This record gives sequence, C-alpha cells and structure tokens, in this order.
Amino acid sequence: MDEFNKIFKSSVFGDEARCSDEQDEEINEFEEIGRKRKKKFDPYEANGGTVLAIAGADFAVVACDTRLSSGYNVTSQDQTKLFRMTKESMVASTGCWCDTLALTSLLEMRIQMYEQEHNKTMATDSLAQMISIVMYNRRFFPYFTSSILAGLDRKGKGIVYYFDPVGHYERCRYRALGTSYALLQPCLDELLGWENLLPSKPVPVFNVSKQSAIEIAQKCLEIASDRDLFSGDKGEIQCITKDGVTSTTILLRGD
Amino acid sequence: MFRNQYDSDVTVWSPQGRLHQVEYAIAAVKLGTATVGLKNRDYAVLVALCKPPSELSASQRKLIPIDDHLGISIAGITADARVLSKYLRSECLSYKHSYGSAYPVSRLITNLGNKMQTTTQRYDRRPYGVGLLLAGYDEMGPHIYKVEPSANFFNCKAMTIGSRSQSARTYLERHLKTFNACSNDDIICHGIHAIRSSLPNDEQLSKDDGASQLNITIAIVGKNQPFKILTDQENLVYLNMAKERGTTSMPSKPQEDDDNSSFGDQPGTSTLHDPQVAVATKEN
Repeated sequence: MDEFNKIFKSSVFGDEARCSDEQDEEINEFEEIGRKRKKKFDPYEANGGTVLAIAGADFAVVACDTRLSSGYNVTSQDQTKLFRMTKESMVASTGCWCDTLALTSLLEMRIQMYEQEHNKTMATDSLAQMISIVMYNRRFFPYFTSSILAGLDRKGKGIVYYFDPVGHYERCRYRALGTSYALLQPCLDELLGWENLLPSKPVPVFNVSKQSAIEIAQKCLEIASDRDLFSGDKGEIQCITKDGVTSTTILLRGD
Repeated sequence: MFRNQYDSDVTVWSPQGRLHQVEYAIAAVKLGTATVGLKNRDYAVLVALCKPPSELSASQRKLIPIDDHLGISIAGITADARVLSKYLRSECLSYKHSYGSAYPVSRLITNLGNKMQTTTQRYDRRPYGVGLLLAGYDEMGPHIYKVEPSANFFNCKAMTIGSRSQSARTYLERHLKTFNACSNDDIICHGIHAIRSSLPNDEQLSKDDGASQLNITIAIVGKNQPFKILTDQENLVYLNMAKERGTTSMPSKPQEDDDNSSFGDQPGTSTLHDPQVAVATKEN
C-alpha cells in the first residue's frame, strides 16, 4: 500500500509532494478514515415512521403510520407499528425496526410469564416500569427504539408513557415520537396541552373526547405524511377502552 | 404390591424385570382425586374433582393452564406437578418466542417424557409422583394425553386418572363412540357424569347438596377457544345441565357417520399427520 501511495503521490503531485511531510500526513489520514469507515459495521438502521398517543378520561388513543424505510428506499408500505400487550395496553414503537421486533417479542414473553405467575392482567404502570428495566439492561448496546406505551391505568383512566432508547420514561397525556416528532409534538401541545397559552388566559381542564382525540390523531398523521419523508402510506389509529379496542385505518400520502 | 428386597432404589431391577420404585410412583397418582379428560372433533375438555383435604381448607388447584392452546390436570403430588407445569410453561413460551407459533402438543409431550425419564434412571433422583392429563389443541386437532410417573405417555381419546377413577373409565368406555359427534355442552356433561361416578358412595346420593356441587373444575380448549377454566357460575350452569339431562338421555348407541369420521388416529382418513417421533429427541 505504501508503495502505491508513493507512486500515486509522485504522479499526481509531482516530486514536490514527497518533500512535504504535512501533505503526506493529510492524505494518509483521509485514507485511514476511509478504510476504517468501510470496515466498521453499524448495527443500527433508521427505519423511520411516526407514532403518537393521546390519553383521555377513560380511553387512550394510539396511532402510527405504516411506512418502513431504509435510507431513501421504502421497505414496507403496510407495516403497523402498534403491538398489543395486554387487553388494556398497547406499545407503539419506531426507530430501528429489528430492535422494535426484538423488544416487543421479549415484552410479550415477559407479560405471559407475569400473567401465569400472578393470575392477573399486568397493570399498565407495572408494564411501564418493566419496559424501562428491560431497556436499561441493554444500556451499553441499546434497543434503538423510541416507544410509547398507551392504555388504561388501574382506575380505568387513560394513560400514556413514553420511553427513550435507554429506558427513561415519563407519564404524559399525549406524545408523538419518531421522525416527525418535531412537527407533531408542537401541534399536540397547541391542541391538547395549551402549554403555550399566555398566563392571562385561564388554562382549561384537560378533557378531550374520544371522537376528537381520534380526529386529532388522524390530523397529526396527515401532517406528518405531508412534510416528513419517512412517514406516510397508511395510518392506523386504535382506541383502547375498557370495552375493547376499536381500530381505524386511513390513507396517507404515498410519496 | 408388597415390600421386597428389590424396591429400595429406582436403579435396582427386580428379577421379574420390573422397577418397583417406578411402580410405587404410579401408585402415588391413585392417591389424588379423580380427573377426566375427553374430546370431540374440535375441542378437548378436562373435568377435575377438587375435594379439599378437610372442611377447613380450600381445595387444591387441579387444572393448570400452560399456554393458550393447552393445559393440564394433575393427580398425585401437587408440588411435583408445579415443577412440571413450570417446565411445560417455559418450554411453550420459549418455542413461541423462537418460532412464533404454538408448540405442537405431541412434541411437547415427547419432550416432557424425556425429561421425566431421566428421573427413573438416576440414583440421585426419584420419579415425579404425579400423573397428568393434558388437553391441547393444535393443527392436528384436539388431543388428550395421559402422562405417568414412569415417563410413559399415551395419546387418548378419553382418559381418567386418580382415585376411584375406574368407574369413570367404564362410563367413558361405554359412551366413547358418541364423543366425536358431541357438541361442547354434551361433552362437558359427559365429563361431569363420568366424574360423578368416582365420588364416594355417600356423596353420590346427595346430588342435590349445594356443597358437593362446587367441587368440580372444568376447562375447555379447542378451535378458536384458548384454554379456559370455567368460572364458578359457568360451572353451575353445566352442573345443572348435566343433572337435567341425566345419563339415560345421552345417546349411547354409536351414530352412523362415526365410522367415516376422521379422528386423526385412523390412517388413510386424515391428511394431516404429525410425525411420530419414536425416540428421544433431546439430550438432557
């Protein structure tokens, strides 16, 4: 390799190049970097997508788009990102798709073990804590997913938790995650949180109805598919109540 | 069976070629209360008699769900049954996680048989003192398996184990030909009648007594029916149904189309056939 370098440099730069040590180092450095980058294996892939969830007084709405991408290619137009966990909770996960699949199948196993041991459905807050532990166990090779857990809490009230890739979690009333997070979260704040209201205006009590929550979720998915490259194709919205789960599918932009 | 010089260890053969310890373990199953398993074309049902050891205590859990597609009923040493059910549960979960589908019942039974066999061939272990009736449903249809402490397992059309189960077995043998065509309600009623015959004589007479009614647990698994242990209310419904129908009203003559029905056991009639694994498949 060194022989080739010498011949290459002398042919391109002429004899002067061989005298300049700085130039030699520069060229070598770039070649080194190029070589290293080719050899290095990146275990993560960004598969894109959007998920969002809204909690209400006695329901939780969780929505996702159905596009999976890899770079500028669309790998799937019809892959839902919602996973049913228990009869009253669902996980919506976006980021690296292989990590999503691994994480959700592990969670399904753990939930079945819990239900067989304790003879009861796992409560959503316990499930949130378990997800956090499971994700933090992989602190030094994380599940590269941003996930949302939405469902009903022990009293039947709607509840939403969101997780970062290493398991930090927080309870909230509404959340959007994924490639269009920056577009959607401010919209949700405006519609549901009234966070940016001026102090002089009274802050209304949070009581979004089921119908308007589903409409907001639908609108947000449309916003995401319009402006975000990696979201689109179809949208799936599921509403969890104590009577079961109702599902709506909408068509989004396909480009 | 009597005590002799060849029964001190499970690794000792008798001159007649018997392992007495294993046979004594099988006798332990007869100490447990009776339990019945039977199936029709698409469903398998387990009925267990849960008699508490004394009036002061609650009855033991006889039916244990293993996975969505199968569950077991136990007779014998409950602690051993707990260990086996934990093993079966972890096997089913692991299979579901690795292959994304339910563990085929016959293969799970072979797996369990292999595990139980090691205890009959080691000087530092003893056989599991529990008999299992396993009811499961997979692509091959419904299954009833009987597993003994000797690690022998039998694919059954219907079976009973436990104390005083011979009369229940006689009932099942008498009505066997009708099971395939029975509806779910009928098959549960058959199970209840079968197990009623293994009650002690004084309790059989007091059929109207409320206390003896709640001593039965029923579970069903099958097509589009995950393994489900019926609630107390549902139990009462079936107990009343069984009482109303009575044994005489049940058809005891075989029906015409039974000969053509594919039970899954007759070669040539069924297109699906689970590969029969004849030897131990896993090294323990």
